[in-house]
Amino acid sequence: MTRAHRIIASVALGLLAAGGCTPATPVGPPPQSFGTSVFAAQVTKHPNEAIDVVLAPDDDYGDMNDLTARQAFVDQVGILITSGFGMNQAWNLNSDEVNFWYMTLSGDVQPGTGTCPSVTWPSLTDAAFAEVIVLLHPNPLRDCAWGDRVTSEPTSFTTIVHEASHAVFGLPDEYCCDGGYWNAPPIVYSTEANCLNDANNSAWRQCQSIPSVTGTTWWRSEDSTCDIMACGGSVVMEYGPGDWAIVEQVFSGLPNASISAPSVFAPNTWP
Amino acid sequence: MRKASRTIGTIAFLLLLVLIGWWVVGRGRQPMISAAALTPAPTPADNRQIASLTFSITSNGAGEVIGVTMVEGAILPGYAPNVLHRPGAWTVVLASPTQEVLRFGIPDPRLVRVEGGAGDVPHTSTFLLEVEFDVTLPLADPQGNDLGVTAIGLLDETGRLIFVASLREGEIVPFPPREFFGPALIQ
Repeated sequence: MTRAHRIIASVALGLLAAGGCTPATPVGPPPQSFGTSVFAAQVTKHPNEAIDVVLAPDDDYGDMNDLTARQAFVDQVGILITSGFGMNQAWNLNSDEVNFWYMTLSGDVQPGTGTCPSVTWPSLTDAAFAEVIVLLHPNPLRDCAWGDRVTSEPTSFTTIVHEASHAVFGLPDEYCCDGGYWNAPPIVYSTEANCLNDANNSAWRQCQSIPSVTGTTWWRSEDSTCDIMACGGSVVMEYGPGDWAIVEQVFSGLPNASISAPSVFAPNTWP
Repeated sequence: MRKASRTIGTIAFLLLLVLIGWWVVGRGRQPMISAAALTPAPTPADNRQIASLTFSITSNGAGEVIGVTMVEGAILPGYAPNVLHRPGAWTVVLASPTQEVLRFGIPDPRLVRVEGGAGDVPHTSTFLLEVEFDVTLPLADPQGNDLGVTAIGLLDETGRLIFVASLREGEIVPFPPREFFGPALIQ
């Protein structure tokens, strides 16, 4: 046996002895006497210092007392955090200011008789601290969002980040003409004069009207730039500079926040 | 003897490759987040409270709010959402007997955002003439200091006060707006 072979053999035996090749097998606690139904997925701060996103399972994910079913759901949550929120630079760079939690109580989302699905929400008492609650369901259907509550397939990354931006940061829609609009300087204004005269949007100002179907005309300071609040699609887009101004303002309201500004704004992409 | 050594070494090398492959694949299969950890969301150690309200809103065909009813309202221990500096179509105002202590925006609850599916815009909207919605309000600051809230106001997108309630002895008591307090406190 050559010296090289001896080294290889000893390394292999060492790895075996160290157990370094044993895949991790989750060993769960006994079924729940939880006391709460909200648990940490990716948590960096105390809830009173962070934006808290709570992700609830549809009952199609199975019994959350069962570790295998729970892990399957949590895996989806992990993918959503990485491939959804993690793909928007503002969320990514400020991930220390955001907590992601998951619920062990299940809801149910089924196709409805009208425009929206029929939704049975789990008890959300334990999630009262959340800025947004997303009920994830594996069955494809046309979803709706009400205030801070959203239903979605787990891989509708753009939709989820867009809806979370409404709920968490109060960002209005920025496309024409049947979105939700409100006065939100320095991005959306109720008059053209206000848009043109706001010094806070001077760095990017290109005021464009949004004639709403309700008859009101709104003004957007970012022209027709495609950003996450303006355009759909499969790619999670960035915020525009006006959106970031509001996002930063909300982040700055968190105690002990350390905020990082994006280096990229829509329509440019990151990473 | 040399041949045997070489064979043993080759077998060990192949074994090492297999083990490395197993390790890599095993790592790939490891969950990003372990569901076994079950780290619960914390509950406050102090006495901070939240107000949890469910409203029923009725509007007319012109989009004007014509009725607001508090279906449920409770003061509970717990953490609230962080709402400071958040804009919105509607406005929630919290006031103490002497001053406004917090004002923040919420989306117009009558506007349901409907997934478009067309790919060009994120969603369309549907306006509901009858809707129920929930809102959770902080009654303490993030450090847990009581804000001294004695009144809750809700303003629609026009700035019109459409709901007022007082907080008395741990209860939320709705009032007709004109019978409550003057416009100097909430407007």
